[in-house]
Amino acid sequence: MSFEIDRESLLVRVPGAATLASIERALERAGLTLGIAATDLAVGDWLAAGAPGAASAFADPADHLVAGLTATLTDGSATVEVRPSPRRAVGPDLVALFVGCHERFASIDHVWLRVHPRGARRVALPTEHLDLDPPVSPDEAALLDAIARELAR
Amino acid sequence: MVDPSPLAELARALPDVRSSGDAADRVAYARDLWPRHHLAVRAGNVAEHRPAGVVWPASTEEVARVVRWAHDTRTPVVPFGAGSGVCAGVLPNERVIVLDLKRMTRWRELDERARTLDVEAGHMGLPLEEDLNRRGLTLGHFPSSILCSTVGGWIAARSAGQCSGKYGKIEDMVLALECVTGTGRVVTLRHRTSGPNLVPLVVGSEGTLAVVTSAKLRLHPKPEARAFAAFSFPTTEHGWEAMRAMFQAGLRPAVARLYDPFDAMLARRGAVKKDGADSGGTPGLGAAALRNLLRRPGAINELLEGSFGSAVFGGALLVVIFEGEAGAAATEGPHADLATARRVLEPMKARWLGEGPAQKWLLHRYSVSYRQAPVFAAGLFSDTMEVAAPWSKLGALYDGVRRALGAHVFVMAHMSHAYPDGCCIYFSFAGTAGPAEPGREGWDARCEATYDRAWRAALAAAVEAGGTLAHHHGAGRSKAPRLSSELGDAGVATVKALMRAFDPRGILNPGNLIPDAPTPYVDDAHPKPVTA
Ligand SMILES: Cc1cc2nc3c(=O)[nH]c(=O)nc-3n(C[C@H](O)[C@H](O)[C@H](O)COP(=O)(O)OP(=O)(O)OC[C@H]3O[C@@H](n4cnc5c(N)ncnc54)[C@H](O)[C@@H]3O)c2cc1C
Repeated sequence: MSFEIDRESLLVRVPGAATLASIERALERAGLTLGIAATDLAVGDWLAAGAPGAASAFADPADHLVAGLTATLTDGSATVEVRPSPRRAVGPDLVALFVGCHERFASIDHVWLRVHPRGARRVALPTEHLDLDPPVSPDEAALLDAIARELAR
Repeated sequence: MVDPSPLAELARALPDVRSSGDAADRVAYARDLWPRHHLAVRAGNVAEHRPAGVVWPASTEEVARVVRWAHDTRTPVVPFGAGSGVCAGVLPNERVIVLDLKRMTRWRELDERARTLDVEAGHMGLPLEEDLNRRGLTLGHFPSSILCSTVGGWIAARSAGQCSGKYGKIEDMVLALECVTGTGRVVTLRHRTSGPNLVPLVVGSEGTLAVVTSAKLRLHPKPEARAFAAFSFPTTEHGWEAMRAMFQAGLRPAVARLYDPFDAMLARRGAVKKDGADSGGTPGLGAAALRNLLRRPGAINELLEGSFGSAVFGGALLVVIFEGEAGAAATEGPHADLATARRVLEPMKARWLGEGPAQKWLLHRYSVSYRQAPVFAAGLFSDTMEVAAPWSKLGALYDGVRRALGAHVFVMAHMSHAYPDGCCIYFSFAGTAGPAEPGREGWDARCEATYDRAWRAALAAAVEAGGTLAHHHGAGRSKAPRLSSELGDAGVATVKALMRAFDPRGILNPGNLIPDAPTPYVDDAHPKPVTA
């Protein structure tokens, strides 16, 4: 599997099927790391599960884990591309439909992930009192159902 | 006879909710601060896009009743914060009810232990930050428009503040949103790490998915200490390489602003002059001379861009401010971070300029935003464009957009939102009337033509270089026609699916963010005036 490392931007583009361990091995050769425990989980599945083990987005607000991705809708009707960028302001952030949604709407084909030079200093603001994993409410569940319905239309 | 105006119907249906169909109110709510509107105003078309009326709910319950009524009667509703948006996110017509949130300003819950605040969406920016400061806290969000924008508007337009280097953009601060969807249902969406997170869909949706009524925001301790520094660099590129090195070394200066040589010269001058066209970011020239000069923007841009510009204006300027807790050990805190930054920057052709320019910048941090009026008064126009890209594409983005804009208008740039993987470039430009063409003979119409050409070329160049259409102003109606160039057709179709899911009857800010909306706008880049 081929990985594209953008050294200047500290990003790597990987297929959704690549395992975290295989990505980490390739990064290690370039002096880089994902900065998480590298398992045999496919990166697409890992992101669909909400990237367990990754640093919270609130630990370093200027940083993010996913810079861009391509994902194919579950019915295969279209592929959505979110081009890599540190931030954007062009409507809803479509990445939210693919990360943490357990492939309900789409599966990730490729993803641009942030990588770190080995041994680099990491920012870690305190997050221990923030409630970052509340249960999904019935209202949210209803909206998720409506999104699934409308995407399938 | 029954008054057919939607406002009269609303007032009949919900007599206890404050509303107005008064002519002055309708004029006041006819637009946001999209600079192209200013050209129309200068031409005498003060309020072409008047709404049917305005409604001022005081609670979420009132917002829900208004939206439910709008849903039932299929009446379009445009959420309104303070109207400081610059992309035609607010562009009503005589069927639209504008829903102003500014009566909703309560703090619902301050959790000092978790450092979170649940605040209503109509709260204005500066008083919020000042009240937090009095309690030893900060939100860390300082848009230049902090005096004239609301929490809800920040969230809806994906705003960025001057301290994004440490605290992130508004989307990095939101833990939960209470909002009213297009059916009038009140929902609370919560940030969730290991499950579906709907918050990022409503953030940036510019009033098209839901009306945000309150937000739970992450707070930080008010900084105890600050460390200031400024550096000059031979070129802008040297400067952004230095910014990249800082952020990739794990440093998070709250403020890191890099100015190209011309913008640096303006930044060094600091404060805004009080009167006259010359204070419009255009140094020491009379309005007429300036208009003449700007007729040949290509030549001026070329002259100032190269080594000549650097030599005359003294190179690019980087202003840096670290802030935070003072730090117990000598290796901690803002001063230690600044010392590390100096070690990173000095081998990169940085010339230390001391603390002065950064302190001066902080003193005048909001003044620069009010330079626009004198430019328009001088018969010119100005605007800004904020785009972003990964570092590897930044050079192409900078050159491409600069060239595209530079053919039509005078352009300068600064970079004030950097991240470990990329950066935003903020172009400021000023232009004048181009040659007369059929249908566009008057001065202001000719200015509009130049304005449209410059934007069209610049947005195309941004996407071509691998950049985004916008970094923090949103897309509104002004960039919507180009949305598929960044998101692709599938991305746009996904956005439309979201709109149907949240707002099945399409009553929330219809036409906004939709490239092919059936509106009275030109199919190209920008709306033309409604003539009906
Ligand atoms: C001088 C000046 C300087 C600026 N500097 C900055 C800057 O530094 N950083 C920055 O990010 N922006 C800046 N802006 C742009 C502008 O201030 C932001 O876009 C701001 O977020 C808009 O807030 P507002 O309350 O004025 O929203 P409005 O202009 O009223 O609305 C903006 C959009 O959001 C929608 N909206 C508003 N409130 C709600 C709500 N409660 N629920 C749902 N939708 C809603 C509206 O329908 C509209 O589409 C600047 C503007 C000016 C004029």
